[in-house]
Amino acid sequence: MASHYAVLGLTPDASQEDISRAYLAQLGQLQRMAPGPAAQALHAELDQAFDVLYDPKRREAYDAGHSRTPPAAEPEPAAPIPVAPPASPAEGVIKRFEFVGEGGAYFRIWIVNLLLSIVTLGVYSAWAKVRREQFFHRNLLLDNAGFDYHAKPMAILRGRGIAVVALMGVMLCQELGPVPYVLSLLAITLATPWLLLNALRFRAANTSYRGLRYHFDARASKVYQVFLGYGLLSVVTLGLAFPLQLRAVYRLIANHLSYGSLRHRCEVPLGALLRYLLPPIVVAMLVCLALLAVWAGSSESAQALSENADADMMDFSEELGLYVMALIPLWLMFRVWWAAAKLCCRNVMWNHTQMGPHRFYSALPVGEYLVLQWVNSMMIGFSLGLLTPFARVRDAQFQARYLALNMQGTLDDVIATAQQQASAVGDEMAEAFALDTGL
Amino acid sequence: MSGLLEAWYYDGRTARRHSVTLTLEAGELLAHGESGLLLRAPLAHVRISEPMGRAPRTLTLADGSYFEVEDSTRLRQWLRGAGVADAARAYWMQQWRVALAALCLMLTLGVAGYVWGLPAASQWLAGHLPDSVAHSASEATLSLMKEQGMLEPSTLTPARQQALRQQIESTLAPQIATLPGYSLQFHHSALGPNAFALPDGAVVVLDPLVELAENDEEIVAVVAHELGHVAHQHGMRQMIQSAVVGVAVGAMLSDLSSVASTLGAMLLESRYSREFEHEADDYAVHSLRAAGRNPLALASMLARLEKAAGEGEHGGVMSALSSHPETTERIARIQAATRQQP
Repeated sequence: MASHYAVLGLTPDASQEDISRAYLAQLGQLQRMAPGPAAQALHAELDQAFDVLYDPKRREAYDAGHSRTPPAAEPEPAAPIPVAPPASPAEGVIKRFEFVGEGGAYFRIWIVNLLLSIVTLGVYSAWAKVRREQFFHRNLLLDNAGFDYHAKPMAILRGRGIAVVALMGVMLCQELGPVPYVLSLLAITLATPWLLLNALRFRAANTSYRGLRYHFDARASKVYQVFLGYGLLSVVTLGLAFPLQLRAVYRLIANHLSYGSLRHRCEVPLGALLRYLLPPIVVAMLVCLALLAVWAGSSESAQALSENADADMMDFSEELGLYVMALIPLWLMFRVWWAAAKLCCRNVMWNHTQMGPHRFYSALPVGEYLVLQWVNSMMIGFSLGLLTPFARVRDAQFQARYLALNMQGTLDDVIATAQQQASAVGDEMAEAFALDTGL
Repeated sequence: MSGLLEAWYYDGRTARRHSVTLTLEAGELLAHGESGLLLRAPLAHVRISEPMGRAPRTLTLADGSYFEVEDSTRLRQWLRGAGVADAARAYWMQQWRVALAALCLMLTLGVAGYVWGLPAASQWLAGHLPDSVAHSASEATLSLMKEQGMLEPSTLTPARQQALRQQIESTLAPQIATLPGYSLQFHHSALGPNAFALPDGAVVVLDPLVELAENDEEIVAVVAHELGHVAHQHGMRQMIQSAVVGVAVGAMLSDLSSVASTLGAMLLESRYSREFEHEADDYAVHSLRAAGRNPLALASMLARLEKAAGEGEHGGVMSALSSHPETTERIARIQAATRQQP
């Protein structure tokens, strides 16, 4: 019998946090095993290892007993372990998120949605969106209860109408000339934080779990501070302040999101974000500076050459082309690095977010997830979009598998709060203009 | 009477879950908790959620409280046992038959839309757009080309320009009379021998084309071809069609890469531009014959242009995607059309 530490792939000096994260990661792996006696046995072993090690007192006893007696002599209960460890308010119980939706089921919803949306010239798309969101909400389970989505199609349709008008307005301004176009872009930029605020409000107000709605109550001034204020700071510092902005975004979203009477809280340590984000930012800055220097140098030499024949210019532009070709793989590598860094930050964010006393755990394996995303985009591309529903479901399954909530006691005392009215305009505009909410 | 169904009850005011057993009795839904009957409601007032894969389903009461049933298969059996029809809409929408039918219908719609729908729609739209749109688009194109140094003042002598203009406008007078936006411009350009029409009716002839032409007949033929583009509103139609194709292909392929979606859009648009060139050729043949000129001048000019292009750097790989259909095919069409109606 392997030691509990070995089961979780840990050493005896692991912290409590390490233990929960390792447990979660192992459970994630387990879900991809074929179901059967082997998987069940492994599951029981993992649960037992976690139960013992996560409780400081039991762990102490285990450590003591383990060093005194050989492992084989340790009394192991033969009875099967219940899937969910018994709740105890002191240490909490890990409840994993689970996405039970299947690609085939979503394909059927998706294809009918698409056809009806096309046939009705987009009018049905509002109903289609509600069905899509319902599929993804209802198939997401936490502690055997599903989430739900409640937006009214008519509200979405109105929002879509306004978004389309705004989009056409911007296109019209583009036709009218550069000044109206820049002005319209400026207006959109200034409206962006307000739109995002409304989008978050709308999504929260229409999401429920166990009969209670979420709500998002940030003030507009706060949202402007985070998106425009920190955004400008990021630009001025050539991206160096981006980790600050990301932390502000995380805090803004989590600290103003409530589940019923239960407020979320996010306290991301800046150091962790800097550790992941600063290296790519600094490297990108240095590369850009180096390129600028090369470019400045070569344009000087080009000026010197300008009296020479055209042939020299041809050589020169060919050389420049080679530089550009060499930069493409570098650029792709950087994109992967950056995506990985942001995913690491997302793990950090979840691991420092609480819903009331209940902590989230996220152990998303970044490399594997990037591969999955890449495979998904290939699937979609080569099937001309036909496999999109399968790709979306794979993505949702993967993300849910590595997210869990450490429940302290029960959610029984969470109560509903007064419901706020939320308009769909922000959500639809955010979608139409492809604004990124960052979560 | 029906069997028992395990469910959770949520009252909508707290997150507390109550374990209940549901039964159906005389059109009423009865929920039994640990301490006996919890509540009853007429089934007609209960909203049963649509089945979505393995997702739990809900039975929502008028006050917003609801029962959540984890096992959706069990719920279906339970409803069936009680003789209650499950939401019909959800069922027909989620059948594989319906999904496959939708898929086939969509492919058909896509092909029909591409082959007939979009060309017809763009033709209708181009006919109904105010002239000012075509005019401002043309102005924008011209000034952009001038800014980029692609168009420079013509190096032809004013006398030569005047002679050409006169010959063109007298030969093609009946056609020009129907095109109120018509104008003729000569420009020098590094683009090589070419001519093009703008959406508002302006025809631009580049100096290298004039130099390449063996006689003025050929230049007149090219202008007749360009007038065909103007008469059929190909400029506006192309703008509309490529915008729609671009959006559609982008939606399908943007996940793969932007290069793939650009190539895909080019491939689809090439069919449209082939059609446009054929229409313009037919228009030129028709108007040249009406003026008593030989339409074969267009064919010989095309051959000359092809030869000139082949001598340049371009051609080869790109010609499969080129906006001008295979020149030999076009020449054959022109010759056939010329023979057909002597």
